[in-house]
Amino acid sequence: MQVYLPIAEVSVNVFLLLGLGGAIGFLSGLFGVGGGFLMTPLLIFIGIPAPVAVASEANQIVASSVSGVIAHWRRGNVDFKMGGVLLAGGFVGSYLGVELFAYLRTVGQIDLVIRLSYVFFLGIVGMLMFVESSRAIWRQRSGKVVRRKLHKHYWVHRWPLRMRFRKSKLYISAIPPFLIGALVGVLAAIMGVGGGFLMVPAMIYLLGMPTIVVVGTSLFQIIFVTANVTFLQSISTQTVDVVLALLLLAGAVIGAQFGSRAGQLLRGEQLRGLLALIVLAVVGKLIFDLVATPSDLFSLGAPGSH
Amino acid sequence: MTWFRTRWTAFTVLFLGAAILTVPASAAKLAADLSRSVVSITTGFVGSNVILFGAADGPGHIVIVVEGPGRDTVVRRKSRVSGIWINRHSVVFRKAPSFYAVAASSPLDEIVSARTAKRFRIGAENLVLKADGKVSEGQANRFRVALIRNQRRAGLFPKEISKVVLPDKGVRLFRTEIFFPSNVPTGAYSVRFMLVRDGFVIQQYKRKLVVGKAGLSARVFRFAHEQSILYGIVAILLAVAAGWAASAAFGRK
Repeated sequence: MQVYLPIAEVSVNVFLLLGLGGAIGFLSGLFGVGGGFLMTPLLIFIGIPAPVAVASEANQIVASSVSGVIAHWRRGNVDFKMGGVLLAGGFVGSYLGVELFAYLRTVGQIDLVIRLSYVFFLGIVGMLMFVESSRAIWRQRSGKVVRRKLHKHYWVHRWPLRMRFRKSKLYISAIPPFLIGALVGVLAAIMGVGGGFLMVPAMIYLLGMPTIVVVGTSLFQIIFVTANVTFLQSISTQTVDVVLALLLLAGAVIGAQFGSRAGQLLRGEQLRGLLALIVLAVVGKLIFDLVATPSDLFSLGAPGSH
Repeated sequence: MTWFRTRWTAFTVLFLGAAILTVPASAAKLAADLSRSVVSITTGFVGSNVILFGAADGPGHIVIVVEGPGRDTVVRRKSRVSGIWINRHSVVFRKAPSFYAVAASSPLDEIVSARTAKRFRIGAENLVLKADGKVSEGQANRFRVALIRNQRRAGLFPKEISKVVLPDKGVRLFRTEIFFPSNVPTGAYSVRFMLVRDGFVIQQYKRKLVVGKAGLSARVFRFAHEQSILYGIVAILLAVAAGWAASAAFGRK
């Protein structure tokens, strides 16, 4: 059964979209990530124009983050104050990101920038995660126990504007979380991702937040950043396809339930190792596409805008 | 004298046709119409066939050209920059047709001369594609060929020439079908029917065809473009509602 997507202006099989949503939803439930970094490249791969894929995926992430954050909020694992500071940065970043997106589109380099940011950020995160999880698995096998401090203090934490984040048990400058929020906001707009895969490690390793509040807080701020991206993209590029977003999230919601159940059967470091392999596979495919000689060197576009 | 008689029959048919179609009698060597003048893109749209048909007043070949609305189109060429393929050079073509299809009753090279084909824009290679700005002719040509090739791949410049069938040799009625794929651009299309005799186009007859979104897809598209602020808010609210509903339905483990 085909459905014509009104904004993307192509017709796609409904079951393909539901299946994609379901599969990515399963992975996102399994690993506790949004899955945008997998979904957006796949959408582009099945023929959705890149700008529409990015903007509509942001819209879909709003939904999956809302359903995710409710569970964490019930358990009291959301640091709203920290989320607020990250969010302030996120708003600034996503505004800049959407502007940059519109500009790159007019000069015909948007596809390249999307791809390069994916390769760069996913590459780094994938590598780090792979190294970290294989070390953890190895440590487990050899039976060593490493004791850790509550968190480390870096010089950035002593910057001005210090704030007390009770839930995170931190008393640090508000500037680093603001900057992290801004960077992730820019990426959310350009890459069509929530940015959880960057936010979570940054919160743990750079800010020193306790792991238990990290996922909930990151989801909380992702809701607002992706909502902002959806809104700004609707106004400036008109590339948000509601029909596409709704079909994807219908599949994703169901997939995520099965995924989170399956996730309870695996250990944390095994999950992270597996996720790292998937991330690195995506990076490998993207690098191949950038380097391999394309079948046609020429491509068409519209000058200026849509 | 069979030739004479067929000619007469054709005239009669054509006079009838002309009366129905209200074509001025003086121009009545060729009359034609479409099975419908609007192609509606609805939510279930997977492409659509339109039947083009008509009658001619005597022997000759029929050539039909369908052209989509002209749009400024950029053709970009990738080059390798430090190992990575990047869009480097580009040429803008002003008002390049967004769709182009030809139908003919015989292979084109057998019925029209190269000059006629050029003059009447018969065949995609005869389209007038003007390159914008300062571009050398050789350069412009390479990008022009690339434009046609890319549009062909997208199914918007179908390579195959649809066959115009003349079911009855006596009465010169003709018909053909043109397929509009699901990615067909919207706008006003022109359909040109040409009667070709001895390599020359002796009569041209034009009709209009509109391709537009209809139903839900039209409403969503118009909403997104005309009230983009409200559209953005609705998109967010839908997502929040869907996320909340999902957690209410599956939540509480």
